[in-house]
Amino acid sequence: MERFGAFLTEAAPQWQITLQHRPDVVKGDADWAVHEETFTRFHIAAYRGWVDLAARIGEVSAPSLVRAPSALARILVFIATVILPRERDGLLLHACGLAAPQAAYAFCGPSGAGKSTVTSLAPPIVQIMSDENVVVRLEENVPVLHSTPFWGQSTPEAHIQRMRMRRPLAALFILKQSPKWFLRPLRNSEAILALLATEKIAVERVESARVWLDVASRLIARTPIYELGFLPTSDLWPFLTSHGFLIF
Amino acid sequence: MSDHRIPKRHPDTAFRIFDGEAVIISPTQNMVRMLNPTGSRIWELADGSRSIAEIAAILTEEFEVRPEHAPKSARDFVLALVERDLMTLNSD
Repeated sequence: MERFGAFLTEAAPQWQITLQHRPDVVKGDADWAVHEETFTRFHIAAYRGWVDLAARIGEVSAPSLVRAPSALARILVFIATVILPRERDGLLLHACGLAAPQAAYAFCGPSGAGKSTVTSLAPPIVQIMSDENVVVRLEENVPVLHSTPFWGQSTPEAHIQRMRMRRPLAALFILKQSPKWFLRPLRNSEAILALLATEKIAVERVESARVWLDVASRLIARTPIYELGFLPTSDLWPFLTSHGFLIF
Repeated sequence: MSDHRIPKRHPDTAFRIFDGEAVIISPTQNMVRMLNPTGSRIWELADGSRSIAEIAAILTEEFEVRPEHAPKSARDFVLALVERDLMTLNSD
């Protein structure tokens, strides 16, 4: 559970999450989530649980102690996904975040798009905010990227940096593995569709979708968003710096 | 003959129009759609206050749509969205 330590604060808890040991719950044939009014039930991988958005309580089960942090991460990611647009003017992005001293960059895409590759190729001067999930919030209408404790499984444990960090978001790249390098500015509608194509978005309810669209539309109005065609090589950084990004 | 049926965006949808292009989310259908500019304008106008004929007339003014084609184009588009549960259609 040390992964969450850097993110704990002295503030009073706003949610109560119960973690249960349930060795009888195994991975189902398919993941599912059911949303009824403010109540959501889910079974994802070997984790089963529920969330009551109105009462701000939830429960999740893990089949073993080793998998307890992942179970907790699952339910916390869901809550963050839904609550950030509604209450914090923010979004949880399925993206890796890289922090330079003055600014940060997010590289967004669904599983397999290359987020872990981007982080593994990052030069030493860059701090990795997360390889899998970052939060972007509009703070006085300025997009600010925040690190999260929600890292993916493909980054070696020794390389994971658990740190609470925030930086102004300089640009957001939608990753596309491609046989040739390219950088294409996205129209606003394309940017919204690209974000919707990732997985960590709160559009499970009409109310959530409306709030998500509101926050996302204000975010893309204030953030340069590009489709980045890339090869999984260290040429990524020279390519980006040649286009004016990631200059330290 | 004018089509006086009144289309209305389905209440279980969320949308935004970006530079004339509508992005529509239907959580119940688990569907995301982006419409072209003409379709987006029909979507925008389908607020339950105008008939298909009135929407077709507006399209004729705003787009390069021939007056004789606009009613059918508008009707076909509305019916396609009704079929996908993205719009409802009421008689006047």
